[in-house]
Amino acid sequence: MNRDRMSCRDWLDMLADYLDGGLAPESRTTFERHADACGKCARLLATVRDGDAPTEAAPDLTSAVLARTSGPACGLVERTIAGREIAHRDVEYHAMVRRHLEHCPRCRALEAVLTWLVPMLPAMAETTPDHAFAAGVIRATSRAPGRMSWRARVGRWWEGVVSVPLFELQVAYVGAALLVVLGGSPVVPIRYAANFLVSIDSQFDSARSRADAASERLTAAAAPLWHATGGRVLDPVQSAVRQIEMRYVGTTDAASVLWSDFRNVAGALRDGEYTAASNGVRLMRSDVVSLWKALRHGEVSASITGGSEGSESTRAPRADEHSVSRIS
Amino acid sequence: MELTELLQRCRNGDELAWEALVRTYQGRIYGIAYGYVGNAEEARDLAQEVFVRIYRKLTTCRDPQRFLPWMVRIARGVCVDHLRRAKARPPAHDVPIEEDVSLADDDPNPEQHAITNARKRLVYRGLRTLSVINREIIVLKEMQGLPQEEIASMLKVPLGTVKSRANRARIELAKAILALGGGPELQE
Repeated sequence: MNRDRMSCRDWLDMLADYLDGGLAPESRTTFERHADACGKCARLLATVRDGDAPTEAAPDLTSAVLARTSGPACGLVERTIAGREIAHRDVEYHAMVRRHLEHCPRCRALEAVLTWLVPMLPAMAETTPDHAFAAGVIRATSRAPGRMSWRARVGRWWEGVVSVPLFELQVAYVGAALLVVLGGSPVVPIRYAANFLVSIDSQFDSARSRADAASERLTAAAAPLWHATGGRVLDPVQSAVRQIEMRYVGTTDAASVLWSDFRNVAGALRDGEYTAASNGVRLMRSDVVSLWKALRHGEVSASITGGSEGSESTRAPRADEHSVSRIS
Repeated sequence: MELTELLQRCRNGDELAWEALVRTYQGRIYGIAYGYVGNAEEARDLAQEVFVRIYRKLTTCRDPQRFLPWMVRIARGVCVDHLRRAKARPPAHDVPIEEDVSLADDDPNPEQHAITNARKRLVYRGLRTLSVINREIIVLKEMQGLPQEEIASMLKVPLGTVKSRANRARIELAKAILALGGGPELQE
């Protein structure tokens, strides 16, 4: 092979030795002479020796490699260009960021936006509303409404009502409550309740008359017993009947007074005389105490019997007489 | 007049002092409301509601040094409540960013003024595309300049969350602006 006229392939074989400085001077001269004559080999030598990368030859190479390896560094660059807390980064880091920005149009556009956005945001702290805003606020918060027409007042009131959160729900609630009150509340028809209580009183009267009849039947039933035992067994029975009757009479008297007061209270309620109803309730409280004593001990207090004819002392003999006369 | 005295007069029922307070802080409250909702009419109503609440609660703000965070906290509460209701009951159509919204800018250069207004509208439109927490961080931290500790307390999130979210929110906003067309034509 002619050393002066070497092929590109031979030149390529000698490239590594040339870069290492391992070529003999004669071979080195031949190598350099070929590089001077061959443009392709000269470019390759420049690339390998001086690092002049032919970027235009493979523009997507970097992104393709990054996509298959570490992924693009855009996220890191975004955080860097968006944040101010990067002072600790060294100069080389910033140089790498600049280099990324040179080759990444997306990050470059983002940086351009951030350049005007970050200083602009504090300037947007205040935005002037229209000139009527302050007047509207003062009108809404003023304690003195001033000279407003009734139409304006109603309009303002309605505006306030409809601006309440969950307005529809509140309207539905009030409407439902109104329907209940008008249609079926247990509170409103108190007059009906009073009438009902008065009707209970009449039922009580009929119950009392039935109890009287039962007492007479009991006395009549005791008569055969008296005849059969010659009166010996009848005495304790008669005594027991008398005690029962005494308790019964005392109880019915107390109950009668209680129901009388109760009837007065119900009537007062029906007629709307609430003061009288209140006094009646106070009387009923003492009536209940008397009724309780009568039920427990057969006692009848003077407050109940004092005004009436049926006291304990007068009623007991009458019952006795009544029973004896029936038996005899 | 100092804020302390102004507040004291307002608490005493001085209507003139109250008007001065409203005029002093209306831009800030309206700005917060506008940042949250991006609609002039809604922002106006919300800002008015904020002032009504401030008026009713003036006696509860004893420390004038804390007046601004206290006020922003009320504004934030009103706006977030509104957004929550709006989310439950969204409008029938997308509400556009008004072209006639008054964007304070004292730039004498008409061309620069137009660019600045276009940018501000883009920012407001971009804000509406962010999540609520990112929007809140942009409004409270970047716009209003509240301390991060205050924002963390207000949003009931850890301080670290606010710090990390701040950067992310800024990036998200920039991306949203790019997506909305805030490209090279709006550069200087």
